[in-house]
Amino acid sequence: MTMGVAPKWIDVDGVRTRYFESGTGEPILFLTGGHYGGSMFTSTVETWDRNFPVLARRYRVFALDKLGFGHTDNPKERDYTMRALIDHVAGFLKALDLEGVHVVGQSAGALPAAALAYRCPGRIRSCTFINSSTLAPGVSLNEAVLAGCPHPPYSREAQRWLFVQCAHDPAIVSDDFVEAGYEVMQLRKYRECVQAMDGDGLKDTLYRPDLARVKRETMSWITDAGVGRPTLVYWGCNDRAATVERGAALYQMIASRENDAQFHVVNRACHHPYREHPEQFNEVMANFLGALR
Amino acid sequence: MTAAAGLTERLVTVAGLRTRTLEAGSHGPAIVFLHALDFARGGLCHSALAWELNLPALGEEFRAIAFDAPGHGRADLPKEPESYAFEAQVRRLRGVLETLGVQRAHLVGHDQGAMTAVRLAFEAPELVASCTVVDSPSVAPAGDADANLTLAAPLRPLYSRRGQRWILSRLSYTPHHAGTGRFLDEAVETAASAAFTEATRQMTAADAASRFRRSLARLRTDTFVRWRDRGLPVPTLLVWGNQDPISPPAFAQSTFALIAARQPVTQLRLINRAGYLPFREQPDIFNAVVRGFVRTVEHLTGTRATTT
Repeated sequence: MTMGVAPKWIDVDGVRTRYFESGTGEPILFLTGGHYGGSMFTSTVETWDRNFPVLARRYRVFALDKLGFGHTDNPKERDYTMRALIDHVAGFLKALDLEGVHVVGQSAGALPAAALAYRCPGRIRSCTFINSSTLAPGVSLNEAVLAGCPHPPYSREAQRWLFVQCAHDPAIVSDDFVEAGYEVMQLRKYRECVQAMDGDGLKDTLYRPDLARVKRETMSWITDAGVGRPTLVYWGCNDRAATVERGAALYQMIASRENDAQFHVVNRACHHPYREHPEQFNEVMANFLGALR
Repeated sequence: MTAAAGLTERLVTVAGLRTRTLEAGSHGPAIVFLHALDFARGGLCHSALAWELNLPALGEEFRAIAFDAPGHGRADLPKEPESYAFEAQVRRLRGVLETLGVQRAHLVGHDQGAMTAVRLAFEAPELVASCTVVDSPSVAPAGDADANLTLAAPLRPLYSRRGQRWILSRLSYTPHHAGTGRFLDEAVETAASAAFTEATRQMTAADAASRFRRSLARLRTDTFVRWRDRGLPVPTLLVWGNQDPISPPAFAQSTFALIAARQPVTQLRLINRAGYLPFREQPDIFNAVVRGFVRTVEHLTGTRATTT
């Protein structure tokens, strides 16, 4: 198992939820990116495999399969919305009664991370946002960057292709990482999710309008109040979709309101900078969190 | 001799010129701090004491060293007019490293001090474990409209406490740190001395300001060519105050892009609520960032910057 520990399961308001937990100390919660469904590839919680065990030496570290992702159930009553996804993470923190959480969200995981800071501020101690088109202002180039996958749906090759597109150096894309995504795509519940989003069109009729509302609401919160918690914006500078300029724009929005707002950029890193250069990320993270004690 | 708490102050003679060193810690990799320079006698009275809030904290894990550049703080003036050219700063740094028995150092340079660090990295990469460039309009490309009016109408007398405080305040996000430590006190003391007046006379006679300016302009061009064609040969961190009034963060982002094109380990850190001197305005964050970067570089290279 790439995370170094066996997965755990918990019922969150009727949703069977898979997560990983390791270590003791202040809690850190990792939130992975990705949008519901997708027949070509999926995001996987194992993306944190080079950070989770290292930070677990000094922290109580959690990584969660979000609602409808990985091995966690799909939303009840086909509520494939960002709102439902955020409710689910909030429910997870409540179910485990976690407080003082350092929430770390990458890509589409950064939006729920930011939303948690105002939805349940009592549980959140700091926020870290990593290469996120979903949270940053401006237009995401994901559609273009990930267009034209030359491989069949639900294949290992397609999954690998996604990770290569998202990497600065393709050597980072290891077999176990690809396998974790491939395994999820073979689940019946995953195929149901794809059917709902693409086949039944919920992506356009339900998910995207809701996502736009949640993003507007979150942006307006950030504009009016910062994040309300110490915030680290961490960016791989070679991201073709979530460009470093957009990271800087997000940072400046936050920094105009938030005293403790840090912007840290690393080189030769694309969409998963914490996986591409774990030694650099883990050190920056340890220092950011250490200063909050 | 003891300076501020936790600092060991010494006077050492390097190539016939006396300089003051401030040190904290004696074990682990060496970090050498290079303060900004003012040969034009038009700004802040820079000295090694600029780093007084950083040396003790970093000395807990490393051998942290700062020294007065010639003509600054308690250091002697250069003897030859040619020694006001920038190249002399790099020779000086080499001399200090040798005298202190430092074989390999992490260099942290502020403004002109960062240029000294970058130039030594080109010249003798075996001596330089990493470069940290702090708020450096000297190193950053300036763009077409680079005139900056932040210090255009100084409060006079320039080297009075009032004048120096005005400059510190103008360069900062807030002036809360101006009275912290001994930096400002010593700057005012130094400037009030007969030696300072004599030094200013000698520097004017030697045309120090324009010699320095011309050589810096020449080295900037050469530095940009080297970044573009060969790259900076050591891991590099840029640390910038997010509200630096004379070198805004956009300058740091452009500089990052130029260096990152060829140096694999390049990082940029913006510190919020800090201006031109983030190491004085937000010392805790600054110290944590430098500590983390030095640890990372040591981890990546698997070697230790050592002293004999």
